[in-house]
Amino acid sequence: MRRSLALVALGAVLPASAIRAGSVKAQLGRYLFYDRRMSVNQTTACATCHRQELAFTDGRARAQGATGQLHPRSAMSLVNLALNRAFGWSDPGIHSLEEQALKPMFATTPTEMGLGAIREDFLRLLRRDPTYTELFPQAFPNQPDPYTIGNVAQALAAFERTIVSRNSPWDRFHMGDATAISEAAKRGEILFFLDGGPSCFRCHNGVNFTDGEYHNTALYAAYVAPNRGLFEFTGRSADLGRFKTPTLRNIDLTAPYMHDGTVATLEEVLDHYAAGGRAHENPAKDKLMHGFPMTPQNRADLAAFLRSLTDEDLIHNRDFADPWPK
Amino acid sequence: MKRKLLYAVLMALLSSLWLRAAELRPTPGPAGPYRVSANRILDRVGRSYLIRGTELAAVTLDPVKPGDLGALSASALVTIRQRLNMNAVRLPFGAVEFQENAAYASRVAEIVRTANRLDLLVVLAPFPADEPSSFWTGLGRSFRDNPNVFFSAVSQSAVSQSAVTAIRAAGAQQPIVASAQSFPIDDENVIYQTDASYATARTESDLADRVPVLAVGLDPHLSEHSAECAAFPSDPAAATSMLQATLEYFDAHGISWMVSAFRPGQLITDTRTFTGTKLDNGWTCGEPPGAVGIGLAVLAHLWHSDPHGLFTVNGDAGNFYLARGGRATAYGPIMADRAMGLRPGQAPPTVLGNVSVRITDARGIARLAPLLYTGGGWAWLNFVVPDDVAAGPAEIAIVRTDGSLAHGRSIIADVAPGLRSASFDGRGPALGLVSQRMPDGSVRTFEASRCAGYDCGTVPLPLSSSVVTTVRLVGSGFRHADSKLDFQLTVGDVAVPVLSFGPLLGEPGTDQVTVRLTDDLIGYGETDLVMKVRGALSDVVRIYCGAAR
Repeated sequence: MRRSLALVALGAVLPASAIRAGSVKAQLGRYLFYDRRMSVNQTTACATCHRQELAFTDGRARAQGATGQLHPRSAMSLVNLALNRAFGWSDPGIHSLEEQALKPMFATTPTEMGLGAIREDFLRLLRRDPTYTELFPQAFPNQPDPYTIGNVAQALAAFERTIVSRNSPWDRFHMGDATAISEAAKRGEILFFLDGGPSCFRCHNGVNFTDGEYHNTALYAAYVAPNRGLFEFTGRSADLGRFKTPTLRNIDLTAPYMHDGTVATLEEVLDHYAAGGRAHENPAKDKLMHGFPMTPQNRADLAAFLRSLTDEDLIHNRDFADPWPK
Repeated sequence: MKRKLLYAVLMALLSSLWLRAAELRPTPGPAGPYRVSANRILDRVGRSYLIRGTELAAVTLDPVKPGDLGALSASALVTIRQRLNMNAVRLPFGAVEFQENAAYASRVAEIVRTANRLDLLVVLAPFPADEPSSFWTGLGRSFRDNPNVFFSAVSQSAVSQSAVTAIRAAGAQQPIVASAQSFPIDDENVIYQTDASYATARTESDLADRVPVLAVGLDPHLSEHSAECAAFPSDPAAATSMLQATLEYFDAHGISWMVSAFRPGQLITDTRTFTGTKLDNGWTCGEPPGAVGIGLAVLAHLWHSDPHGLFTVNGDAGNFYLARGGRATAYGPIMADRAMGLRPGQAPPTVLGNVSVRITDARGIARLAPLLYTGGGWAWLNFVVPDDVAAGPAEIAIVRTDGSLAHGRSIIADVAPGLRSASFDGRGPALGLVSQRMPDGSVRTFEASRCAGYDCGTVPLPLSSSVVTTVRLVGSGFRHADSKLDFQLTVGDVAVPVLSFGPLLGEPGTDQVTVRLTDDLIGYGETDLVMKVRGALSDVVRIYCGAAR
């Protein structure tokens, strides 16, 4: 009677490049991802804000750059990025991971890594570091000078595409292991996917639990710069406060929540949605933010379901860990 | 060698499928007269019968509220039979009213007739039960010729023996339910009733080894600070397990049972949709639990299903029999990304959005079903059962484009009739086209029902002896009947002739049956319409036979 799975769900839809973890380009990207020398003061790597044990987030409400400046938004999880059409909380203009990788390297408002200030020094470092002098020519053969920022971005993107989360207890439940998740999580799953109930799946759908769209979840009555969501890029009033739906995979590891990390726990997130948001007068509030009745049992069950999306393999997979000798 | 091995594996898989699906069958319906032999109740051909039922609401003469179908309606009764898979109901009614009010007694008799017609045995349960012998003799006389009723003479005081004697004095020989505290009663046809409880250890089997036992109750009384509620685990899954373990105990010991009551707040949430209550939302003893109850858990037990699994039912009748070429509805973990229907004129595809339906029939052949609609998420999906599937047990699987699937069991039949209602939920006003040939030869057609949004009502049909009135009823699951002789259609208590039947062109999975409304129905009023095809029961819809008297 219970469901089973013929194929590994996520593997069936991810592009092959996403799971080619052994490619030289991805290996190179992994070294770069963990290389603090990429930042202006050699304190910050990509991995500083994207920690494996936190499903590649940083546990902070707002990300902090190399120079100590706070980013207006929190660091997003990097899992299953190969499925994404757009990246970041609200920038619809970035359509590839390669483009996205450049952004933290060179951003100045605020400074994230500050690579712009040490760009030439960093390229020189690549040309003399034995790890990189071995990997760059293999990753980019037939290039007279493979040590370029463009190739750094390509390698980072190749590594990020290998970060796949697809073995949570919930995935195993759908592969036929009826005991993989608790009865509470099973009840929570029903609520999550129940149209006319919480209807969470309306935005958090598909194998990666995101519709890839932008929604105003009535977090604020008025969103102020530079956190006005999609509006920052389109200038349309209807886009005020609209941020991209994040994946819910490993959501238990990625607190605090929302684009600015102002909601501390999963239970508070559920309360937020059950109440239909906290700023009901917001004219741009998404119509899907209808609120719903939620008993204490429902709340506990929904939280149990969300926690069943935590993939222990992801956070312990050595292929994603820091490759540099300690 | 490899081929033999493959064959053996295939056969093992098929056997396993067959055996699992074989559990999915209706509880035996009433087949009286019954008699008690040792600790068993035997039907007219000597088969053992176990009561699997629920208590109804007490009989009243109150009018049914608008938009309601009533707790004692035929729709309620057919839901108990077909959806809950029960085979009996306990009918409480006032003893005084029954004796003193002819309309009330007539209403009791009408409910009994309807329940019997819908394959339910009725346990007549007058209250209070400590009425004088003359009442019991009168009751026995009223129902002595009905082989599919039992009498309940359960009382706090020790009147069971006198009640039994009084019933027998009227010539009524049906089994009588008496309190276990009255054991032994000097009569051969007695069933002993015990109060099932969560708070005490199970001991019913001690008595059940000697005489037939009927366990009643098993409502956890969540709104009370009671020992029963306290004994009921506060975790919904543990509570469901406890209930199921209790029902399995009864099954294992051959104990009849009647659980809870078919009333809003108990087995069902309301008397329009008859939605089963569930335990999932949680409760606190002593606080109003809302729609929390054991309805879905009981249903799952009776269908050998997971309460949170995939259920696939007849698209019109709502039971677990799907007809070849008929409409079906799967509900539960459909998990489509979004709701999708067909475009006007679109032929039903086998993939809609990210889902398909795969039917593996009794021969092990898998086919994709044409799809009509899918809801998004935990929802329902309508499809057509391919005409060429084999009759017998089948596995129905929702297959998603990501490779995941959810599956459940159903029974495919050649004929599994369902009548479509105007509200498309298998109850309420019938969906049908009325045609009247007037004395001057002109013909007038109109719908048998009309809706304003989701609010549907019957249209009075102006019947007259000078007008020939036919109704083309819409439904599904009966296109494979052999002939009109396979059909039995009743409107109220009146059997009506079938003029034609078959697929309805342009409507995938939809059939029509055209009947003539006879003069007996003139002025009959709004009443129930029910159909049996080759003995298989449909759902109950309503039709209004009006006019000229």
